[in-house]
Amino acid sequence: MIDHLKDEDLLTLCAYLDGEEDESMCKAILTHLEECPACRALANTLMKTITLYRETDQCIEMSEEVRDRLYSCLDMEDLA
Amino acid sequence: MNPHQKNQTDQPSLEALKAGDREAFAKLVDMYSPMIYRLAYRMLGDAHEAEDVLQETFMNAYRHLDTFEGRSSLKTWLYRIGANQALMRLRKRTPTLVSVDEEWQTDDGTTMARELEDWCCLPEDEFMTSEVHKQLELASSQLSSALNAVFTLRDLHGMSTRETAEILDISESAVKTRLLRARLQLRELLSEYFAERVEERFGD
Repeated sequence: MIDHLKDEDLLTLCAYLDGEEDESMCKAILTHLEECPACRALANTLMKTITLYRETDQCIEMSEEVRDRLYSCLDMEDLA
Repeated sequence: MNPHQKNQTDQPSLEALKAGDREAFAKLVDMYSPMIYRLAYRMLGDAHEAEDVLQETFMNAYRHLDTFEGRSSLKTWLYRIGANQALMRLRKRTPTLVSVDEEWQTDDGTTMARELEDWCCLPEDEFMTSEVHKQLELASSQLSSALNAVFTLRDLHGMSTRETAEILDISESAVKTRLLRARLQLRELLSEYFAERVEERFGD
């Protein structure tokens, strides 16, 4: 039984969600999340924040011009 | 086919690169330049500076390939050069006033005042607007460069904790704590904005 999630719990939870810890390490945390709307909101919005950044990061594209100038500064225009 | 994506599957051999094979180096450029550009853009928030970092990264790599010992992967090595170039530029911009490892916990162990509105209930179209993109950029620009670098490498480029530690020359436990702090700060900054959207949509 745990109170609201502390930073060490969040570290464990993140490690689990990142696939670096197995479920047994954060059973108490997952049980708490089922019972506590406030901590569930924290966990949900934490994951949503990461998802939103991942989605927008895919929109950053290197243009043809940037690539051409890179090849040019490397003296490799013939291979561009 | 997008020309940026050609040659992306087969990494050139280290022997060919060390022997000064230009075609092998061009393969390396095509494989990793889009990633290095995204990394620099996310760390610096500026397209021109991201391009400068991109060029510096591959020029440095070309010059120093003979000293590359293969202890890390070529990818990690390039990221290390790119991240260092970006961090050097950031250090010139503004002095760091707050220690990156400074504690910001309250007495009960929770991290600062948290906005606990669950704004995930908003419909998806609320997240797709250009205003949201601006909010995301604004929030990440408020992170310290140390936190932003870890967040970018781990969460946006999919680097492992170990690779991130290697690239930034910090311990794995520092990667973990900085990643959590970056995620929490971003969440908190975005929550202020999204809580208002929830209020607008579902409030009385």
